Amino acid sequence: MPGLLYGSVRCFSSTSLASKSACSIVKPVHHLVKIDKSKLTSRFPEMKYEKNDIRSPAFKPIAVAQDRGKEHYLNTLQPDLLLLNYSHGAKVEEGLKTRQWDGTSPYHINRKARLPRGSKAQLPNINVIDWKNIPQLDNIVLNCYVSEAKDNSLLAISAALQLQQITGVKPNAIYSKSDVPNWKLRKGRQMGAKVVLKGRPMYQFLSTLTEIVMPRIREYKGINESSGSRFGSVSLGLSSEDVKFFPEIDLNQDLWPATFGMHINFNTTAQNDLQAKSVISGFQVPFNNSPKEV
Amino acid sequence: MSFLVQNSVAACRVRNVSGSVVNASIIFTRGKRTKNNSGLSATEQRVITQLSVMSASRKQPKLLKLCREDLIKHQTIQRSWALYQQDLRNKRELQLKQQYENIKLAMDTLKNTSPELYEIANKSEEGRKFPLEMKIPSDFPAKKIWHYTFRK
Amino acid sequence: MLRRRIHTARPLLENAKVWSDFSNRPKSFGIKSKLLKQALLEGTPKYGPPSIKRRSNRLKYASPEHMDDMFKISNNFLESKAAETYAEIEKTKDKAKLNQLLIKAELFNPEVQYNFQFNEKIDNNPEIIDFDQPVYRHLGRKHWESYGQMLLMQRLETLHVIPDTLPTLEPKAEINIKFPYSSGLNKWIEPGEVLSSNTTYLPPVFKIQEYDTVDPEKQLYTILIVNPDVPDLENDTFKTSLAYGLTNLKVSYNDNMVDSRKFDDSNVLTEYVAPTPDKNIGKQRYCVWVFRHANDKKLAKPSDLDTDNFNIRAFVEENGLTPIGAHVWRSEWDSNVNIIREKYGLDPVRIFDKVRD
Repeated sequence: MPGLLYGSVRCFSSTSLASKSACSIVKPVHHLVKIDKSKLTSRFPEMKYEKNDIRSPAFKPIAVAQDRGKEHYLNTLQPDLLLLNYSHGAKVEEGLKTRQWDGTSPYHINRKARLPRGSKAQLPNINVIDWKNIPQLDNIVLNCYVSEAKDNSLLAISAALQLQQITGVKPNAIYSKSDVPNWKLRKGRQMGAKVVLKGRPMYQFLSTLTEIVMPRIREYKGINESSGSRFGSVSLGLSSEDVKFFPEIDLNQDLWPATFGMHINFNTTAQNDLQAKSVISGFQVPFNNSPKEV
Repeated sequence: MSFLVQNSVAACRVRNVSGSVVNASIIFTRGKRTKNNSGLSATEQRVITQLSVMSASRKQPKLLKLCREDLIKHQTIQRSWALYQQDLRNKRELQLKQQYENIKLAMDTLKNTSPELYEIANKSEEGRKFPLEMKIPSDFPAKKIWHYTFRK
Repeated sequence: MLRRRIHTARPLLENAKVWSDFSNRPKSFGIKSKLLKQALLEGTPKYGPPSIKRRSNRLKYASPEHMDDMFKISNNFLESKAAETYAEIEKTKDKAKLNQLLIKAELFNPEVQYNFQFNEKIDNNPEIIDFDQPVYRHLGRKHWESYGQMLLMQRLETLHVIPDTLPTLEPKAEINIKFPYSSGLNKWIEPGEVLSSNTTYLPPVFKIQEYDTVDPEKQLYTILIVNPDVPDLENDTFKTSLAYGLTNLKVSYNDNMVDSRKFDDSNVLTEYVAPTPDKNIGKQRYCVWVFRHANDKKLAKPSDLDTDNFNIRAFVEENGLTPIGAHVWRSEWDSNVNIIREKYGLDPVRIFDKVRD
């Protein structure tokens, strides 16, 4: 009976619909074809192209110049890092995990697992390095937080422009996350800018930093050996005076009455800081080997 | 942006004085400000300039309109480049794999022949740094490539 | 002079003319027009690209710089890759693998791409787009999946063709219908369109475009058009009627238009009954279903086919048919319905009214 197909009866008269007690608001789908609605509309035909299609308005040519930094990594650093991190007969080092209850009591069912011993969170496993997971530089994040921007929000705009001038990449605004009455800080104010560098702009920035800026900083010893997040990213800070050595700012000093210090985070695919530092040191980044002075 | 506009207007005036441009009333300035912003203070004007430097407006290149042949040519170039890059990637990965397997083989052999040397060879070198003197190849190298007398 | 070359791990097969030597290749792998072919492969002529028709536009047009040189390098690179694939094809025996390799060898051929992208795909000219070739079937399938298939499935779902007629559809072939008569619309019907009774007065023609690898010599097809919206007053519900049925049809990859030249009376399950909906019952769906027969088995004409109360699910199950494609159009009452009812010898239209109980 075609009318009796899916549970409810299709009736010719409309009064029987009133006897329906409830209905699901999610309509069932009876096929497995994935439908992309944006492709079905007749509006904006040029928006239907893939982004790497030259007819698309979002098309951006990518491989427009040689990337010397990337080539340096692939040709020189990568094979060395494979050898450096090789350990014969190494096994996966299990990170700390939450401890399950042993189930001796019926109250253990649905009880939250205990935290790992000696840690507030679970830690990732450390895998053996082979030819497929050689650590590499993933991205560099420049974070410029201007604390004076709580009084004068125009400073945050200057900070954003400074990042754009240095890197050539459009920065994103950062906002204060919470109210702190003691510091006269209000939630949701624009407090500076940050920019995530990947690919060619990243290597370009790195070479400017190591070849032009760092050598000119007075008595610069290098990144502190204790720096690191434990999970493969290393940070350093530049003061507002150091930032003036970037050629984009150095050559237009009269346009920059105020410069802003920033944090630079090197994010790598390394699993611990030791590996991360050996990757970063391959790009002429100096490290300060002396122990931290107290 | 406004100071750029002012500059171009000024340039036109200079040419006008020299007499090379006859019609003074035609000044072609793209994106000329129609609103009078003279009431703004210098700081505000400065911030507007800073924001306009960051904004994407009037900085996007025009969409390329290719004819049919050129579109196919472009696609062919793009595809061959992608295939070429894929070849390079595969080649590199194969090379690294071979390197890894050979390291493993060498260590296995060493372990059987000389356990003492194996102990030394298998000492962890994790965290060892590359020398600071190792340069990244550059398009514009320094005039003096290597400082032979350099002492650390 | 310095010449750029692409360095690869394996030595390229230099001067491999697998794409340019047409002594042993189908014509459809090349561009028909000599001018266009020359402009594509040997560089844009001085007077501008021949694909731009107006002279003034041609003169205005400027190609990106050095595109022709770069194209030649790229084309040689891709051609040498294709030569490697053809060398592999000669060694391969497995049919599915062979099909994949034949696609791979020609997919990036600029001439094939030009032919496919800028020519009519539904009413294809087999000298330009030849669906006998696996590469054109591959491109055709991708093109269908990018629009036509999604549109069809959306319409089938929103109009409840599935599951009101058959429970679901796994689309395999592209189905298009058309009413190519003086009274009809000479265009391919979009799924779900509302058509006037005058348009649908004579049976539609179908186009069954297969993209899968099938044997066109043996494979048989059945087409059914059902109307699941016939009011059944005694039971206060709706019933399904069979509006048209064709069976034991054969189509090939290129010659796949099913019209009166393709079949005779022995193929007709039931004659076409033109849509003539009663007044005030709303729009009626006319669902076209296309099936593949299993194991090239012919379908015997059933003697007791109840076309007024047709159970399509039971029919499909009995005969072992696999649904591969569908289509739908809608009809509603208009002033022309009575004339068509007269011509087909049907009762005059009923007029339904809302009655308050």
